Amino acid sequence: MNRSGGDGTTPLLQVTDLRIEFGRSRREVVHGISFSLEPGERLGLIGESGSGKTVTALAVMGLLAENASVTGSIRLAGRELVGLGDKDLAPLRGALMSMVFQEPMTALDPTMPVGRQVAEVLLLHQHLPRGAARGRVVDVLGEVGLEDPERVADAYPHALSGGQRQRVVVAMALINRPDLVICDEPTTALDVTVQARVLKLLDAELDAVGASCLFISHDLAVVSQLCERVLVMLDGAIVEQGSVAQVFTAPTHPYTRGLVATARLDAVAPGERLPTVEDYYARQDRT
Amino acid sequence: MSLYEVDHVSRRYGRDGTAGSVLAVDDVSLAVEAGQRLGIVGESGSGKSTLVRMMAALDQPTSGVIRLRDDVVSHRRERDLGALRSSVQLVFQDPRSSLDPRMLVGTIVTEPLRSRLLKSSGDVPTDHRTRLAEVLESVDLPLEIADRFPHELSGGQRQRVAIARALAPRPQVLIADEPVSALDVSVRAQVLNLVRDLVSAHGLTLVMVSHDLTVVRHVCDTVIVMRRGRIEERGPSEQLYEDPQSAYTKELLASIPRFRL
Amino acid sequence: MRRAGLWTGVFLVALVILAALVSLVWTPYNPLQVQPSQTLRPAGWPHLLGTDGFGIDILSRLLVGARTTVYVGVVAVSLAALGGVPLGILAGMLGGWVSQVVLRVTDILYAFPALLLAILLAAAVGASTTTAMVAIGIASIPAFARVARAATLIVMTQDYILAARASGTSRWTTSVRHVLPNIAAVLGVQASVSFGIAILAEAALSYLGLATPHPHPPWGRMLHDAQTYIFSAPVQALWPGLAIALSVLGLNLLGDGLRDHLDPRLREAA
Repeated sequence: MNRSGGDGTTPLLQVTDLRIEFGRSRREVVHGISFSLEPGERLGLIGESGSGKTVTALAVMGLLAENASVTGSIRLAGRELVGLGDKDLAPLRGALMSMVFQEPMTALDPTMPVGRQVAEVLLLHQHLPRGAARGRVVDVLGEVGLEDPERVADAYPHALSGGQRQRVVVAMALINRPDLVICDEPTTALDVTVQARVLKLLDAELDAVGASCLFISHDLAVVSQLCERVLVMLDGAIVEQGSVAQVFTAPTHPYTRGLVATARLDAVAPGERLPTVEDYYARQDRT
Repeated sequence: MSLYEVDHVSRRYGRDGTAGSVLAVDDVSLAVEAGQRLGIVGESGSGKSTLVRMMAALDQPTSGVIRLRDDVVSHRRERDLGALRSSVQLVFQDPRSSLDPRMLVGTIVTEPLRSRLLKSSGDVPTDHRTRLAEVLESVDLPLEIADRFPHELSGGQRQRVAIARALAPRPQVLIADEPVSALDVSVRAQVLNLVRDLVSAHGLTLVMVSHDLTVVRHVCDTVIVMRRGRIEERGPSEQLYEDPQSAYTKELLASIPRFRL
Repeated sequence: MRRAGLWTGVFLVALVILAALVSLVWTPYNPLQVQPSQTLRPAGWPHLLGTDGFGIDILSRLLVGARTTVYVGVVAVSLAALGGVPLGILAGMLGGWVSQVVLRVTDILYAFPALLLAILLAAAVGASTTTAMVAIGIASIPAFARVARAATLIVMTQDYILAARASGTSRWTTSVRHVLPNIAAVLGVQASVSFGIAILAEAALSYLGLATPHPHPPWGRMLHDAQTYIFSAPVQALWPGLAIALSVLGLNLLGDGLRDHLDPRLREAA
């Protein structure tokens, strides 16, 4: 394992007073959030669309559009990422930190066999002879539970099912054994049965690689399957954080209480009115 | 006599025997009674969306017949579908796609009322302004929203607009194709409550497609589980939820993410 | 950077339109007045851009020529859009054999250069600005048809088309109410590019003398006239050439800029 700076006392990822603004109007969408992630820890980031969770993840990866301005501090393994140019960030992406996106169809290049795409990520960061890369790619595709990995490696994305594609994306994210994996709604686009399998896979693979994970989702139940700790984001601010058990059984912020209530569909008797977030937390403007 | 009858219906995409030919719906028969709330559950590729699109005459079966009140609606010319179009309305999965981005909400909601086909074949409300105010109110949206564009609204509001449009011509049947799966979990409950309230308030017959059995259980009284174009299991929703018979239904239920603390 | 291109395009196109408008009410000299004593004057005072072989003020000719240029462009592009857009939408909405027929017909039209069409038309009904406009317009139909068809195909995958059908909206109404507004942006881009092509084609046709008889000779005709003096007064060809080049550049920049501006992926990133 190529762990760097994980001596147990310093967090792997330390985000301090992160602010993100967009465009000429400098509209602030993330308002000075702070959190940290220990080596090997899995942190859930919960919030609805527009709460700023994806933007936060992209800021960590340094993948925000040029018109975004990021202030504050993002330290990965002791190294400051805010202010780094693309040239300095590129060697870190895919090697030290990687990302699993929501939509596996658009995360893969439709014009290239998936094996070559996985190999590219590998060869960007490790110097291997072509043949050795191929062997490693097939191994990893097998590890993520793809049957007949040789055949899958030569297949184009459109020839694979949604679940298979997401497994390829997971393989790409993990092949360089990164310290941090950011998952942005990795199962939202998948069927329930496939979602269950991909979650199980992520769980096992993160353990095997020993990677930390920042797991973004709007679905509390999904987060509770994978994470130990959770942050709740609302309108660009963190309104609550704590262990999964604590936040989900004894939420303190009314918005979190609403989220927990709406997520437990199975706890409501059929025919009864379902609880909504607004029952707990009244918002202006949005319904 | 059932309201809807789907009689040995199959739908094949592509020519039989050629590469890429898919049997999306494979010999499905079912009946929907007036006032029933039917849920159709399955994963992508199970044929559930294709089935309801054929019921709405937006797609044609390769074989088999679909009847609405003893009237054959499959393989009919568009201009002969007035009765179906005025009594059956749809809500689609993703309101970002189902609402024309260049139209104002008010125009979107009243579009069915301006259809010549509907006007000629039913008592479609003629006073558009009044009806617009009525349906917006029934989906808990303020009237001011009529002068906005879809992209100015939140996901939940957009889906309410789609529901308001479906209600505008006073349909008897509402077909909802994954109405909450593109929405945040936090908004899901609102829309489901709304659908259930509207169905009972207007005495609608509901056909709701979903991949999530817990969602269907809350709104529907009967459930059909589909897999690879065939009906895998059917029954009262509570019975199916508590005591599933087929292995596939059991797997579906087990896959639903639950709290793990 | 992208925006700079768009605004440069807007500026250049606005300049051409302004020149055409100004020429309606004012020109420094009468653009038709031949002055044998003033031939081939260099740029300076009182003739800012000099005079041509007939002693006509070049600036005045350029201003008036802009009018013809804009006129030809507008008519040719309108003709192309009126012919191509309905064809494209029809093909995109109906698909099947209709689509195939439209594609084959546009293929055949593509194989027919505007120039050849103009020569044929000129031979049949005589050379005139109208002949040139019609020829250019017809030759630009396939481009519009193809762009409209491709854009329509994308719109047809949207659920609001299905929703309209489920609401009993007829095909015709759907095409006008939903398809056309949603492909208008792409058509605007195509129009500005076609406008540039039309100006070039018209210049080429006037140069060849296939579009001449018009009281206000366009820039291509000026280029043709300047050819006589290419060795004695080469600057003569510079002004109309520059006018043509800048206006075509402007239209292309405008088209590219619009496309970038309207591309939803680029816009979301912004």
